[in-house]
Amino acid sequence: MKKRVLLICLVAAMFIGFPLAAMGAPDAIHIGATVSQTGHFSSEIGPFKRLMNAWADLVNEKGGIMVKEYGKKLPVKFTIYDDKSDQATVKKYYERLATVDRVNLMLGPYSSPLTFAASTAGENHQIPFIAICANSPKIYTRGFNWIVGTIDLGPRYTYRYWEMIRKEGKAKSVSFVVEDTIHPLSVYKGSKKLAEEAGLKVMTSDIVPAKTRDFTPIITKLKKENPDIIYVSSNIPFAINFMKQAKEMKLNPKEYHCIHHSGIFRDALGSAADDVIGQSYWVEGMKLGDTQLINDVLKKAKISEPMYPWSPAYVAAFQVLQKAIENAGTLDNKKVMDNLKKLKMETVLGEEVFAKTGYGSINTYPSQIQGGVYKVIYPPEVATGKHIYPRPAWK
Amino acid sequence: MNRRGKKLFYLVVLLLCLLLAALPWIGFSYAVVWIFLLAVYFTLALSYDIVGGYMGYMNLGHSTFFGLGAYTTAILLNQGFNLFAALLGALLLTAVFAAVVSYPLFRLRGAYFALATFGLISLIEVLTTNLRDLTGGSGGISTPPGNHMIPSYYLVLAVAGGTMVLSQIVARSKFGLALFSIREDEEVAAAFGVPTTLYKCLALIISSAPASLVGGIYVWNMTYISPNSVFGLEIALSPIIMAMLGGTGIMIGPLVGAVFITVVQEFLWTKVPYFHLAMYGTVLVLLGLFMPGGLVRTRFIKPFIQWLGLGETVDYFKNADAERIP
Amino acid sequence: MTADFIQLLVGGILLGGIYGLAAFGLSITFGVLNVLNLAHGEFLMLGSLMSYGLFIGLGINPFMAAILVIPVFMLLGVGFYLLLLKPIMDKPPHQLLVASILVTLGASLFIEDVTAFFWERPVTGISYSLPPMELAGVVISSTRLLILLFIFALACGMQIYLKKTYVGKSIRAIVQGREGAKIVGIPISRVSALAFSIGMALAASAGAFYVTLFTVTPTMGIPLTIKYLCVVVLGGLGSIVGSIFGGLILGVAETLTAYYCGAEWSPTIAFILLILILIIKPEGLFGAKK
Repeated sequence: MKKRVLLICLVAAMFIGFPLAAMGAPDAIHIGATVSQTGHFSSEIGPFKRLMNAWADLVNEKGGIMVKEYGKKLPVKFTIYDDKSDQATVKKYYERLATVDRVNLMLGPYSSPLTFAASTAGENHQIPFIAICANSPKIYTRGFNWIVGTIDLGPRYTYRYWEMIRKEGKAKSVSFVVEDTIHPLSVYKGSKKLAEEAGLKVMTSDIVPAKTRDFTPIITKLKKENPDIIYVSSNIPFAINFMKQAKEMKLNPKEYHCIHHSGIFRDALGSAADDVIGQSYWVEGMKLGDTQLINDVLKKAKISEPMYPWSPAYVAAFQVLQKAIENAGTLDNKKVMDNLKKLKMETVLGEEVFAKTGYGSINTYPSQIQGGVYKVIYPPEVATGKHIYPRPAWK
Repeated sequence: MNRRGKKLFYLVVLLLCLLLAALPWIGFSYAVVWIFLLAVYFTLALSYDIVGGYMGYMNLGHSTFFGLGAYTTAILLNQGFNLFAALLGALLLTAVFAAVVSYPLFRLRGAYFALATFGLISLIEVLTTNLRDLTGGSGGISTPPGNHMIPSYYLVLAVAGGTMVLSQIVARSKFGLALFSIREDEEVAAAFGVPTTLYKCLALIISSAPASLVGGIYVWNMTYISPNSVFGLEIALSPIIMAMLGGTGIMIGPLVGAVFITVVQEFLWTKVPYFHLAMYGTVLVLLGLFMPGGLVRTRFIKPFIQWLGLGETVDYFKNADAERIP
Repeated sequence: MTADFIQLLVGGILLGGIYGLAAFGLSITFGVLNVLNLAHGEFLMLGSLMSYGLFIGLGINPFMAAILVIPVFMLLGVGFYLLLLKPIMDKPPHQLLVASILVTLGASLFIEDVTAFFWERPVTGISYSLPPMELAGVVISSTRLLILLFIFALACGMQIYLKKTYVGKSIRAIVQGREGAKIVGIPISRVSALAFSIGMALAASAGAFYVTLFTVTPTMGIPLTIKYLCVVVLGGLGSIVGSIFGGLILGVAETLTAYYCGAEWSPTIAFILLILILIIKPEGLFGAKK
């Protein structure tokens, strides 16, 4: 008899992990999300649990978000799991958020592959899903009705830079060095077209494995080619390694463009990062939106923007979330989703409006590191500095 | 006592099966997803164990079969084949792959074999990433969209059950006996007339089959995979850890290991806000130090297994705990 | 054309020097203890972080740091050995393999998680660099050249240590045959602990250099360990010269493949070489036949 009890306990143990009764309180707006606290994305998004909770605290200090149906402000509550940067885990936990925790709304995980898996939970259970750091076009071509994305599509990531290049008319050729990962690859594909449309000759495109650490062969080849612009479409570690070795080997094009070139890039490279152009959502001193909210949230969460330059995109997503609920006046899923789709608002990063398939309009600006300071160089309405071209060569 | 005990046991198993079958209709949709993933990992662990536990060759690259199965199925689905044709194609391709790589790999032993098979995963991952036109490269591949959660749930349970049956058949057959003899001492086995090269190759092919099938079912369910999600460290190591933790060389070992690890992980990841990976690591260390034979061989669980009528399987591996030092 | 080839060759050799240095410590631990130590990369990462800390905090240059980390990590290595490896060393081979993977993997995950929690920045790198040298149009990275010289000096030192000192000879005895060494009366446990700690200290030392060249992140450990295990196996177990040569060959192979076949095929060459060597000469290039 003891052993039967043991067996039953073993079976019961299978259900320990999830509470069968949902604790969805009607006196809070329940938002679900996952953050990659472990796994290979942990270095990029690990501390963002704090970011979400910091914003929730700030909103709740003012009473919460106004929901007309109940005639009062409701506080915001986050349920956040660690998705291990793993697709299967992400799918599992978004299902959990949808069916066990019964959240009102979901925020997407970090990166397109994970968002791909996570958004199916929103679609299957009809819960509004706001993707944040996910801009692969594939996500939005599935005919889903329950997803919107905060940021613009990957291929358009650097369109403002190419606009500037075309207007200036000085550069004539470009070579691409691309990290073989979904986001840089998608940015590259779009940029190649934009470069050609801007009248430049695309000399070569090297698609390089993500984990490459040694760039001697590529730099040797690029030295021979001598393009005007070397465009490095990659995540930051890749770009840092490339630039270090480029400087050592004295690869001197007229311009370097590294799409991600935030604070760590600058700190790790020192003078090698001078005059490099990259893309920023926001720099200090820009005439763009009301950036006080960014400062407040980041300060409260103790997250530094140069280290995690996608944090302003999260703040924009929070604003979108809040506005949609306020406009809907209710927590009913369908009404909130409808209001999300037809939303048009000024966020901390500029105007946000969603395309029919769901992707957003927030995009980045070309910014150049001048004397260690990031300056947005185009368009003139928001610029904080002038484009230095050609860059001073390394001796 | 034994007969009554066995009747009771089968009754409980039957109830469990009924419960599993009814799960989607009772309304616990999270449980369905949870058990789906559990079944995938369990099947991987059990099929790994045929080579890793029965035959004693630690095939750390077992997830290569999973990934190959997933990608082949995805490509075939996109070409318009129906699911069963796609799964069949995946099965065949992976089996051929297993046969081909068994030739060079089985010339190695022990840690070298483990290392080489682990390297194989990376090799295939790079190939998958580079053959962009075929596989979609690092951007991943997506299959026709649709919510296949419930049918894939039943499918994967069927494959898991089939793998358990397969594992038992192998364990109790002459072929299985030959595998154990290879594990105990390969030279002696060969001297006694066991066709070691052939059998090693066959064992690898057999172990690749369930892995490629669940890979195909997985991609059909997910509708999107990328090289990292099917060839990554997580899917490579977890099933093997489950098999080792539960007890290699015994059919019920991987089951115990899979359930234990999935439950522990669920608990750690949802209830513990920080350091859950560190705690998971600590659990692994403790198991390695004190129970490398696995949970089923500990003093507490062993008698239970014997009482359940799986005792003969345990005795088969009595020697596993006291091997000679070569 | 040839100018390019020479540049590539030079680049490859210098890259190989880094591999050799990192794998060097591993060849000692793998050779002496015969366990797959998945935590090797973690020590390299920790060495990198310590070097980073010394550079940013105290302005100590990484070459100094490479020496300073050695005693610290020798101590840590001994602790690691006594706590985690000694209890499983006397298990039979199948169990040893299983246990060593579980233990070292568990330790790696633990170290990764704790480090990531306290280290909270996406990636780490230092802007320390020496001006490169130029010889007939070929650019030679001074940092990498120094690393190469460092590893040669280290290898020579190690050879002397192993051939001339009692402890060194005991280590070689254990590599040749554990049972035989026991019979002859060598204190296996103590010598193993020492060998392991040397291996770990060398890993940390390599890490101190590593951070000047490449970026460091808490999760880099396990993939690096696998790569360096391949280098060790390629060069031959128990052979110090082997691991350095293995590294050099790998470095050159990767660089040439990247240039002539395209960068995307460069990772495959490592594993192709490994599998080739394991088929043709399973003991590795310089390994002794068992």
